[in-house]
Amino acid sequence: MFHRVGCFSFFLRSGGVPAPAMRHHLRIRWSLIALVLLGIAGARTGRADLEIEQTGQVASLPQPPSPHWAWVGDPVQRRSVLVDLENGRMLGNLAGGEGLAIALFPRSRRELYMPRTHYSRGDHGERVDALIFFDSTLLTPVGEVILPPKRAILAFTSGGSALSDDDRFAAVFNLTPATSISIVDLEARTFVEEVSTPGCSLVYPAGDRRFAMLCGNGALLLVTLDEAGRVVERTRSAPFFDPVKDPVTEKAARWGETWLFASFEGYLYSVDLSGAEPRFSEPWSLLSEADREASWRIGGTRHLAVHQATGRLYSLVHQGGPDTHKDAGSELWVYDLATRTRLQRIELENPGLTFMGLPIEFGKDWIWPFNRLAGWLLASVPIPIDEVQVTQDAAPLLVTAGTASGGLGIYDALNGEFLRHIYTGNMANLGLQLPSGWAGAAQGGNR
Amino acid sequence: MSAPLRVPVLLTLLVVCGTTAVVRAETPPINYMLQCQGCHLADGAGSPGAVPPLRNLVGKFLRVPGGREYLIRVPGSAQSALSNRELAELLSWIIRRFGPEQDAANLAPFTAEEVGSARGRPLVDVDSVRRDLLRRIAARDLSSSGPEGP
Amino acid sequence: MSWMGRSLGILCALVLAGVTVLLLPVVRAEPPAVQAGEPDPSTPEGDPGAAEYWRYCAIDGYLADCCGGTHTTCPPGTEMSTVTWLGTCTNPADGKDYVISYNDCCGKPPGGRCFVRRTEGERPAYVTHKNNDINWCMGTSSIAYNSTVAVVVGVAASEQSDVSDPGTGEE
Repeated sequence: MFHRVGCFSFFLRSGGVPAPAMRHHLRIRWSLIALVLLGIAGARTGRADLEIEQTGQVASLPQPPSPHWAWVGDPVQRRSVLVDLENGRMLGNLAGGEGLAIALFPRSRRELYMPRTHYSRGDHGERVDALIFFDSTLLTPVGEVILPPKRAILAFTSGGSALSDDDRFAAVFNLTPATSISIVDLEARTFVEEVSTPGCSLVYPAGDRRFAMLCGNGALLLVTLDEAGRVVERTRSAPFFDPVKDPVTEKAARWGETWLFASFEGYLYSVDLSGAEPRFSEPWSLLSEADREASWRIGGTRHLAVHQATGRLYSLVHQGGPDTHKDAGSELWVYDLATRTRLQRIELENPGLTFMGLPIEFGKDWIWPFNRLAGWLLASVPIPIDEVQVTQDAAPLLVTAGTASGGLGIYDALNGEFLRHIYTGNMANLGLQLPSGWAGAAQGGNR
Repeated sequence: MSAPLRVPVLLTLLVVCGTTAVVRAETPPINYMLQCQGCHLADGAGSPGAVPPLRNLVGKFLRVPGGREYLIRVPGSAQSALSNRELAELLSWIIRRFGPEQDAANLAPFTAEEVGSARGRPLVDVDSVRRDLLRRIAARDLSSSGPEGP
Repeated sequence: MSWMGRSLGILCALVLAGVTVLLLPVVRAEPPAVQAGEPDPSTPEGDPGAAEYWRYCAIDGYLADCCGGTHTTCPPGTEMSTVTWLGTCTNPADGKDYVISYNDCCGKPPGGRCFVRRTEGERPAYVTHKNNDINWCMGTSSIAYNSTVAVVVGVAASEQSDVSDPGTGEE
């Protein structure tokens, strides 16, 4: 019984009142305790206060931007969020207005530009289209240029607008349904003019003073501007593909000065725009005979991506019938553009399940095998992949997104290994942009 | 239908519905619908400020040199997914359908040959060509028999 | 008879009654009248609320039928676009190809129900008149997209065209 008293035996003896000599010792012990307690109390009251903080502080984005950042659009919440692909942290937020939230990212300025369409009463009223200028550190609007209220509202993310390669001018594609492009001087922050481009649509950068468009007969239109941004030339090439038998999709990818287009039947067309005249190469097939027999097809909302430095092409594919060019993909096939050979087939994972923007994950800390079971159950819910992008640094990441989820699947772009899920907080992901070189970040890359 | 089922069912449907890459010859009224009506509308009214009207106007282009070629080279015509013969038939049908009546009556039908030779050069600058043609049409009408009625 | 026996008896009677009721022929509501030329409305190909409805072979958007309208009428308060694109779908009821006008309903928030995206015969956006990824609410007072209809405007590749053909129509 005495052993069980433990530390209390320091103070007490079992039984009755302690003897006089013992009482003296007890008094000292109690005094010691009291001293210690007072000391603790004293320390608490004597410690310095917390520093007084300021309200009104706002975070800013570290500069230069990391190559492992991604802007991800949400058509439900009409915005685009900036997330860090390493740790999933949300860094920033931009509103999109009507249509998808797609921005332009200059390399030489600490800015970004977003073409936006708004109505004065939400869904009706006076329509205003503008190119809004944002500071890339503060993400605050710092200017705008009013555009003709004709901007094309598209359900995909390629070709809606483009920057000249030297960041001097922006072109916004208009559709009324007559087609044209609006030119903005980004240095002077003025509207230059609207260039009529009948029969040709969408806009892709093609140099410092030139933009390329795709025409309904399979030709390329090159629009050349002078130093003030005014059009000096509009030239159609001969058709370089057959828009009836095997059209190319609008979801082009750029490799250096060459634009790559994949056709419905899986042929890759290249257009070299490094010279004054476009040079068209013989298309080659992304699919073998065996692939075609197994009904593999290209498809998606953004189905091509290129890693500039290694010349690797990533192509989203699915199995399906004719006219499934917008179907989401189940595999990503990797090619070497120089040798035109396929290097790898990556089986894509579910990018993660979300509900109302929140990730649905459970069971990760359960005991084996239940921790694996929960993950397996979630992964078996098909969320097909609609978009693919790749970062442009030396340790590149592949990013995959499906519209039905707010999750992203992140892979090692060089070996195809699945790394992690990133949740954007979006209710749907549509509009995946990895702006390499933005505001002076890692070199190289298309936008 | 639940989301996981939708994709395979739709895929099956699309496969079953067969290839749609085949372009089949249609009659001019149907070709007008499939190639033109979406923008120029069923009554040829067009869309103000965006799509030019055909109604009571398209036939006038035949009155001046270059007008016939314009109607073939305007991208909506030149780039249509029609054979030369089908496009020629369609253009003739359009003139007769939308007039003005006098131009429909005097129409020399479009031929596959003239269509084939002109449509390979779709117009890049439609606006100024069209403006110039309309100016010349107005000038011609003024000099020949007074201002054109509505 | 014990109380347990009595309860069992009542229970059995209830179960038997329930089963009998379930087996009785049920008087169902009148099936919707089959419109001439339309497939059986009880099949997905004949149900305008279903993604597989034959007219929707190249639709991209929310079905007006699910958002307050029908497959040929726009929901209340919206404006039907004039410019649009026209495709062709095969009617399984008669095997004919019909020209379908996919007009958008505009000027209201997204309908949000019955999103269907099918791409039969659809072409990229540079073939403007064959693309369904474009917001076709141009030419209305607002480009805000609500939903889409599928209106039959003609019969394709038929000997006798149902479309009135002024002029000779011959060449």
